[in-house]
Parts: sequence; structure tokens; C-alpha cells
Amino acid sequence: MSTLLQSKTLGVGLGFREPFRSDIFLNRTEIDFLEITADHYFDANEAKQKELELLNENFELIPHGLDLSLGSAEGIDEEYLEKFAELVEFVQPEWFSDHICFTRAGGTNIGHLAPLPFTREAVAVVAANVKKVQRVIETPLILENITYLVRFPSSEMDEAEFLTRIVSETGCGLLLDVTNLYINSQNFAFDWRRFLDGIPTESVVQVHFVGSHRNGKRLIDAHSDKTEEEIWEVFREVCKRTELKGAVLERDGNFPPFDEIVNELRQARTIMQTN
Amino acid sequence: MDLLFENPIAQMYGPYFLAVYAVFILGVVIVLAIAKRLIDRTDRLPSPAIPHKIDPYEIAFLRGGINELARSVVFSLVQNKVLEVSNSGKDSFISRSKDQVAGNLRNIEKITLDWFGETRNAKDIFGKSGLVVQLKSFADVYATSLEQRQLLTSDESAAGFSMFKWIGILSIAAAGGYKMIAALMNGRFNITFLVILGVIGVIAARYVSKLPRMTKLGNAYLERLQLAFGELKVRATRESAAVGQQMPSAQTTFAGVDPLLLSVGVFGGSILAGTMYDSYNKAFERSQAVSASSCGASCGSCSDAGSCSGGSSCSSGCGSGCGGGCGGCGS
Ligand SMILES: [Fe+2]
Repeated sequence: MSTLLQSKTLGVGLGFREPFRSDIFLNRTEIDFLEITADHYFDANEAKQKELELLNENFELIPHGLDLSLGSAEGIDEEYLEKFAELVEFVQPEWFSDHICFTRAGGTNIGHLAPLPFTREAVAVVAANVKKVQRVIETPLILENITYLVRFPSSEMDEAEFLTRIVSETGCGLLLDVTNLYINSQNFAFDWRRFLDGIPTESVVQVHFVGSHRNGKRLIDAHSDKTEEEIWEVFREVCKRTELKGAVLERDGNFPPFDEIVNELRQARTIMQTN
Repeated sequence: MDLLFENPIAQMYGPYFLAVYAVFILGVVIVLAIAKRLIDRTDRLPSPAIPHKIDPYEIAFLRGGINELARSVVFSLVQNKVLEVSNSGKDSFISRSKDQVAGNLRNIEKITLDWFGETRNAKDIFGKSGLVVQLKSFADVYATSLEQRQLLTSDESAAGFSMFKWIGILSIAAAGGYKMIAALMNGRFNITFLVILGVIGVIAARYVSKLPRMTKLGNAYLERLQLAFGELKVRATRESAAVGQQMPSAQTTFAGVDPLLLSVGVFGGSILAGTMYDSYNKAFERSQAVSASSCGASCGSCSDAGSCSGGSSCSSGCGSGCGGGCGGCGS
């Protein structure tokens, strides 16, 4: 955490997606930084490398990984870690992030972010993997909470305690996805305020936000909807409890006209500045 | 005098001298080409950030000089419906719209609109008393700013390189001239190949020592702009795709710049082919063809960076980054 405390406040950013490329340059004053999906720039072809250079010359960038698989008992894929390290070296970000989950099992990529059981053993696995990452990449790593469709009966604690223990064991900051928190709270009928009471909110460095998507009886994190008031409420509460260094709108599909994106960024900025 | 014309070079057997002379010319040309590459060190500089408030006219000027500047201003006025284009036979005419009232125009747009007080043939825009003359002061301001940012080759760089160029050219001419006089003094008049080789050498030296209008940094910056706004071009032209439809008014985004005008600035008017602004595109295609075929002296006079960075646009740098919008020297 000590290095994270020295990180500068970035403000309100946007998850970079290719269809946004022109609009982000037309609306530069509205975007304080960009979060890039790290995996898109590993083994980059010439076009992606030029895109990375263009973004890096014009914006603060935060690499966000999908596949470190910090919850894999088999450990971190060294080749993947090496590529991540090269990207971080090139971008020189204030921090970088990945998820508290596993994406690989038995050497196979399972293609999605799979949740971990909330056990002491899982905490130990994550802590060991994070230590390995920290040995290779000095830049602070922050960890993101994910959504889940099932909760493991084997869990020994609730998610808030699980996250708290991981923060305490690793010294990492949190990337709190307020949409994921809200979705989980609705799908599993818990109070997100009590969740916030249970985590060290001073460790929250950055948040993700976007609208939730209803799929039958459940909410899912499709990243395709406008941020709804309920999620702004979670965002507001987080801002009241801690001084965020960054907030990122994470829109992946059903792209609206860009002025809608800009309006959401403005709203986030207002909340961050007034809470 | 004896030594001057009685030495191994002066008396060298003609074909041998031609071989030596050819090697000498090649050496001079290579040295000039290397010096030209070395004089532009701007590739070591970081590419400039894309400005928060972007000016499509400045980008058009960077890309293709004053003619591209004029084209983009005319497009803006066509888009704002204060100018109309009509194509008739081989000619294209641009006139003020009767019904439309000009809104908030920039100075450069006002002057352009005033120039269209009467109906003009599109090709006249680039003529000696054309719109480009009216826009010269704006072009000079853009040129100064772009030179200061090292995106265009400055007059100072061009003047500095000029000395190398002339040393190279004169050394080729002097070596050939000396041998020619020596041959004539010795009563040998078969100097045709020597003259041909000398002329080729001088032309080659002149050709390789033309400094591009845009610096390496300028090219990199334009490439970055084209990457940044590639998506915008696709979207803006798609939205204006249906030829014959009612033309929409220019839009302003949050950044206060119309996406299609910016796309024309960054990529050139050729992106409008097949859109509802096709008549504008055709008008300039025609005027470009006319200008290119009649460029003559004006083309040669500004092929060097030093003589045209202040405004003229027929440059060797054009080909590298025009996006198809400025062919020929009339562009
Ligand atoms: Fe997220």
C-alpha cells in the first residue's frame, strides 16, 4: 500500500475500446485517463503497437489484465507475466490491475473469470501468486472483485472478509467494481452497505462502474447498459468512505452515442468531487 | 597552363574518364541523399500530443499546404450550405447560396465567402488571383506554427542544406566542364556522352537533394492523426453516404468540431466520394486535373521545401501523407 499512497489521483477515466478511438480524441478534456485491456497488447501486431503508442502519448494509461489467474493453485503463467511486465514497463502506469478469480485450471484456459471459494486456502493461493507478480513487476497491483453466479458451500467466510484478508496478506489495493458489488448484492440478497462496512475501504484505489443488465431473474455484468441510479448510489457511498484515485466507466457493448458516455463521466466526476 | 591541361585526369582516355566520372557522380548523389536524411533529426523527438482543441484547417494545411487549406474551408462552407457546387460539362462552379444566411464564421471562412461574391469556376481557386492568394496570410500563420513545432521543414533548415546541395551540383558540373574544356583544347570533339552524363548527374543531384515539405516528425504526427480519427472518417462518411439525400447541417461534437470536416482535414476531400457531397469531391477532382496538367513553372518553383513552406503546397512531402487528397502539383 505504501507505493499506492504515493500514486497520483488520476480522476475519471474510460475503459478503452476500439470504437471509441476517434471520440476519445474529440473529447479529451472529458477523459482524465484510459484503462486498456492489457491482453490486447501482448504480442501486438504493428497496428495494435501503433495504437498503444498513440494512446500512451496522449493519455495516462492503466493496464487491466484478464488472465493473470491469481486464484490458480498451479501458479502464475510465467510467459503471461513476462508479457504483462513488458507492457507495464512500456506504459509506466501509476498502477495495474487484474481480478480475484481464476481463468486457468490444469494448464487450460477456461475462457472466463471463475470465482474462488471464500476459504483461507484460496487466500493463501492468491497471496502467493500476487507475491510472484510483485517480484517481477514493481508497479503496484490492485485487485478487482468479480460477479459470481454460485457461492461455494465450502466457503469459510463471506466475500468482504475474503477481500479483507487478501488485502492484508498481499498489501494490494482494491479495484472495487461497484457494478459487480451491486449485482452480487441483488442476486444473493445481501446489503452492499454492510459489505462496504466489512472491507478496508481506505484500500480502494479505483472503482469500475457501468449499468447492470437484467437477464431473467438475475442481474449480469454485460457492460452494455447505462449506469443506473442504484449503482450511482453505491459509487456515491464509496466516495464518501474513501478518497478514490480513479474511476473507470467500463462499457463493452451496445455502444451509445458518445455524448451519453461523456455525460456518465461527468456525473462520476461530480460525485467524486462532491463526496 | 601546361599542368592544367596536361595531367592524368585531363589526358585520361575518354571511356575511362566516363567510368570515373560516373562513380564520382554516384558518390556525390549518395552523400547528398545521406546528408538529406541526417539533416532531419526530428524522428528523435516525441510525437506531439493531439491537441484538446483540434483545428481541421491546420491539419489540412499540414497535409497538403495552402491548396488543401482552401479546399477544406470551401468544404466547410458547402457543408454549412452557404456555398453550392454545380458541375456542368467539364467545369465545376461554386457560388453563394441564395437562401442561406452565414452564421458564426471564422475569419478565414468570411474571407473565403467574400471571394465567392460572384460564381467561380472551381479551378480558379488555385489560380494566380485565386482564393489561395486571399488565404496566404492564414497559411503563413499555420506555416510558422507548424515550423516552430518542427512538423514542417523550416526555411532555416532548407537554407542550411542548400549549401550542401549546391556544392554537390557544382562539383559535378565543374568536373564535367573541366574535362570537356580539356578535351576541346586537345582537339577532341566527341564529348556527347560526357555532356549527357554531366546533365544526368546534375539532375540526379538536384532530385535527391529536394527536402520534403513535411519533416519526419510531421509525417509521424499526421500518421497519428489518421490513426486517431480513422474511425471518425468511416462513421462520418457512412452517415453522409446516400448521394442525393438532403444534406444535413454541420454538427458540433462536445469538442466543437464537425466530424466530417475534421475527416476532410485529416484525410482529404477524396473521402467524400460516394457521399452526398460527391459534387464537391468531383469539382475538386476536375480542378486538380486541370491544375496538374498546367503546372509548368509554378510546380518547379516550389518543389523544394525552402521555397514553399510558407504556403505553397506542391511539395514532395505531399505524397507521403495526403490521404489521396492532393495529387499533382496543382494540389
Ligand atoms: Fe470491472
